[in-house]
Amino acid sequence: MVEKPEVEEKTIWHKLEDLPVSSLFLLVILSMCLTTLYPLGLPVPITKMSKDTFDAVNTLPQGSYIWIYNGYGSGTLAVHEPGLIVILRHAIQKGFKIILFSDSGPIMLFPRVLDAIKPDLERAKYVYGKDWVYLYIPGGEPVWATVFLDVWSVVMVEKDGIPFEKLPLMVEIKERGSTYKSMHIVYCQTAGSDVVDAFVRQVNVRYQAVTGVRLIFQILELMVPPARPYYEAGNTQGIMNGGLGAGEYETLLGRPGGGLKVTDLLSLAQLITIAYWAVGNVGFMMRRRITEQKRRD
Amino acid sequence: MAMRIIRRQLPIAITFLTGMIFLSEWFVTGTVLTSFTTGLSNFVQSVHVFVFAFAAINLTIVHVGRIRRQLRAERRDLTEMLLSGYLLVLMYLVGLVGAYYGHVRMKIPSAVPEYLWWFNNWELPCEATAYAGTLFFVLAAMYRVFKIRSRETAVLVISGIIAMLGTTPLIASSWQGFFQLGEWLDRTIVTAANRAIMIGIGIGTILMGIRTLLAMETGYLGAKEE
Amino acid sequence: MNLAIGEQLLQVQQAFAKGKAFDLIILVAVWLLALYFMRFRKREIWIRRLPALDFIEECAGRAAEMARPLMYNIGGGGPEDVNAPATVASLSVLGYVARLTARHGVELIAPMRVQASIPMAQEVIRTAYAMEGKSDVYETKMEEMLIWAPQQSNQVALIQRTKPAVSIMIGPFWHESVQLAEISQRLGAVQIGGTNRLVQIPFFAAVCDMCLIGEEVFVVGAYLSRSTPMLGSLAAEDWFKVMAMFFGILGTALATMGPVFVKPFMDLFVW
Repeated sequence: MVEKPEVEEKTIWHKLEDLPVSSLFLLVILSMCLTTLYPLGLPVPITKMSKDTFDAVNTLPQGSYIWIYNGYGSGTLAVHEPGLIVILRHAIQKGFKIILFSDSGPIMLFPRVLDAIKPDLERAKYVYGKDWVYLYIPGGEPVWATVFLDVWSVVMVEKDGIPFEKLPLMVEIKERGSTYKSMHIVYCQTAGSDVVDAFVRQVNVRYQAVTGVRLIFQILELMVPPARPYYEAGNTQGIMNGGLGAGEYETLLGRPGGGLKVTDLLSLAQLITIAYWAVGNVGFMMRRRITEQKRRD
Repeated sequence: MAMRIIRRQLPIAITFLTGMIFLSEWFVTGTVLTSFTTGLSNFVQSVHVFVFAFAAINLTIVHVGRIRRQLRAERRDLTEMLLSGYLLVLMYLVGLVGAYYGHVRMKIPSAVPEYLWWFNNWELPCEATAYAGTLFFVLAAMYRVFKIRSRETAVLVISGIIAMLGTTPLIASSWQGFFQLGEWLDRTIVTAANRAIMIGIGIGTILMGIRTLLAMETGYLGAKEE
Repeated sequence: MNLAIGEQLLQVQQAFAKGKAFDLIILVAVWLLALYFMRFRKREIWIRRLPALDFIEECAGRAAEMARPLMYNIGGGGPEDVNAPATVASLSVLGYVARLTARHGVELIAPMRVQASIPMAQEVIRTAYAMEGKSDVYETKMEEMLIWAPQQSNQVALIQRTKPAVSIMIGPFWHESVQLAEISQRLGAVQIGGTNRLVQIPFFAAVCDMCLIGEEVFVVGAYLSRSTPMLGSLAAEDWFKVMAMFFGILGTALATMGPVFVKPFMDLFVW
């Protein structure tokens, strides 16, 4: 007679150890929907890194040149768009000359940002071509290396095809000599850690000692630990920690926006995840204990 | 012999020369090297544009092939035909017609509203959703993996929980302890570990570069036929 | 062109970027040390085992037994971007894996995210199959082997459809890493992961059965070929790490003593 294999009795601890993952998904989705529809307005502690990022922009005088690389796509819109909006608002408030540049993808997403900052542009009487401009510069690091040396040698038109000769801001940059002399702060938004390394190489390593150019980033939360060595070493003056960082920046600027919505979302979703981990681990440890006891008996 | 030179020796020589020129330009700026590297960077930019065109053509060929296979198949997968073929053709038409009316007829420099509508209401939500799907995979993976099986995993789980609580605004603003602990973990232990791995990766990349320039690493050319 | 040699040298000296002299010295030292270990050192170099790479041959056997394909993913980097070294390293492993699959009669599936990598991967696989005398297999199955899957959803769908027995992911990966690894794990595939991208290393380490961490991705070519010059470059790499550790300890000691000691030390690196 064939003996049936001994099947371990499923106790409550087995069930707790292996809670259906779909329930976790459902709870996270529900919490996100609720906090999006009914923002909780939870307080946001300001980290030193966010404060440094804010100060890097805030301590520059009026008329400084800020170069903004927006390298995000549709996937990270919820995190990067609030960051771009808040930086543009701050730059307009400070009266900076703004040069945005990117590949083709973010250009398609820019009309949304433009709608958000239009009131600020009108209030500050910003004129396109004179106070701010948007350049289309594909090609990655090899091209950026040349752009920061002499942007006129790389592109001659802005994103809509208007030649640089018709843009007073670009003519001003040419008259000042090499392009890096017209860079007081570079703000890089990206979802790729290689871009962080590239900007540290091409901006900080090359020009920080020469012109004192500042470099700040807005990157995804999970990219912050590998980028932190740069911040601790002083290669970058500040890092905006994803949506959370954008929320902190908005708090510092006093202009709440999409970033603060993200922080509410994060709070609940993370708490639910931690609760599941805790329950799963309790179930796992109790189940293991019972199994060992049975084996000893 | 001639083929061997063209397939192996010539790419190796080009790799070496270009690598040396770019390396030298880092140290000696404002000379003919800078002009050369600038020209090469502009060349890279131009190639990028061709890559888009090539990608579009290649994509069309691939999907036309798939549609043909579907039409020949006994049981046709209409969903696949729809997604592969019709949407592709539709986006091409919208793009081409929109570009004609926008740029040529109406002289609007940037994307026409119709194309933007398709982008904002179709492509953008789809791509954002696909990216957001990563969250659920991460949740599932972490729920399965983060179990206290040993001392090391205990340290991992506890530090993970502290780090998460430190970045949860609700908890961090209620009790600064988690916030400070999380910051400390990030600033000291995580940064130190990441620095060490970054140094290793950096050195590995340099040696990989040296091996590539010296034609020791020729994996990209295919294995040497014996 | 008509300038005297002396004037030309002066121009080069003036063109020499400020603060780069130390970098040049280090670069030259790196090259010389690497060349010494690669070319002139005759003693056999021992390197520790990389279990992830040793495991590949077992995996090919597993795939053959289960009559399920072996999926090899080189990642999302191309030959022209900053992750090119990792892509090139991954192609070396692809060649090795292709030889194993040809030998054992296992179906190989290599999804490609970047188009520019496809011709290189084609060449690598074609040569590998030719070396095993299986060119006819390659010619008939070429279209099914190399599949262009630019989005992570394409790759996830491919994994779900083909149900590989083994999933090898070595190269530069982005956010799709955890998706691919998790899907493969759910389908019961054995996984070997490896990436140079710092952000994705934790995901591979957590989910894959075997993992190559950071610089281990770059040593695969040397490890698999076992040629003396390649192994010599690994030895050079380790010596540089020793130097980096030395500078790290020295810097820490000086920083502990106070900032007044750090500045002169840092100025040494900027000539």
